[in-house]
Amino acid sequence: MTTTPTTGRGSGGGGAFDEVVHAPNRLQICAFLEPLDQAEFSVVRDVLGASDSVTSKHVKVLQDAGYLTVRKPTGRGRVKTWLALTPEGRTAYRGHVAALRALLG
Amino acid sequence: MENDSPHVDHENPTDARQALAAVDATRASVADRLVTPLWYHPVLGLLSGGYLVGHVLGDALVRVVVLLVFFAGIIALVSAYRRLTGVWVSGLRAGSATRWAVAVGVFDMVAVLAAFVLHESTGLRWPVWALAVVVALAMVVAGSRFDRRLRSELRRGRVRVS
Repeated sequence: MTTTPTTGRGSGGGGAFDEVVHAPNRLQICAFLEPLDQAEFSVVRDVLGASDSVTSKHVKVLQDAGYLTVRKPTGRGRVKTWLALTPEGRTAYRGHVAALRALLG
Repeated sequence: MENDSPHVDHENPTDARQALAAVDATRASVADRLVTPLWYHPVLGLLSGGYLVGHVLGDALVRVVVLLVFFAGIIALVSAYRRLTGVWVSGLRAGSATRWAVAVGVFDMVAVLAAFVLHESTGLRWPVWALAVVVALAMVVAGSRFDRRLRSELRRGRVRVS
């Protein structure tokens, strides 16, 4: 399946649709991470109601776009993966949401 | 671009409305996730009260020890919170809830100073213990107010990490 064509990505916070953020799962990931400093991968997966692999795929797309960072701190016990939006990711997400709101007037 | 998401037309108002509804629901789910363990603020209060007593009544060595215990305790608390909830938002970037974090921090510093001045000028120990209890209680009260306000701010989309 492919995403719909959009006006492109990385066009700033002026209310532009963003192709990377546009897909529903990625929009949800951004909406969840936006007010947080960071969140654990399994929490994001549960919010999506998706599998590990589907969540990973969307995380990777956001990461490759420079919208999200993935951190795996070493330490005792099971290693947890922490996700955080980058400033570029926040700008793109906020611009995308602003564009959606503008569409609805 | 490959994905596992349903087709969404960003120029379709119905799809846009659904996308925004999903954004709102996700935002509310962040608030639901931020449920502070019951012991969190009492432990924070004990650490703060303990620091006050140790700093005012102790010698130089005790002051260093209570300072180290205080910061180690804070680190352990934050780590436990993150492990249990799977999320983290800084108290200093929590929208209008931040004022509760700042207020209790300032109150603690004033209480330490007041306890120090009282003890130095009167030699009494009980006011120091009394202020430590007040600091601990203030931490519990302000902590619960902070949590409530933060969840409300999250639901309204007013918490923005810059």
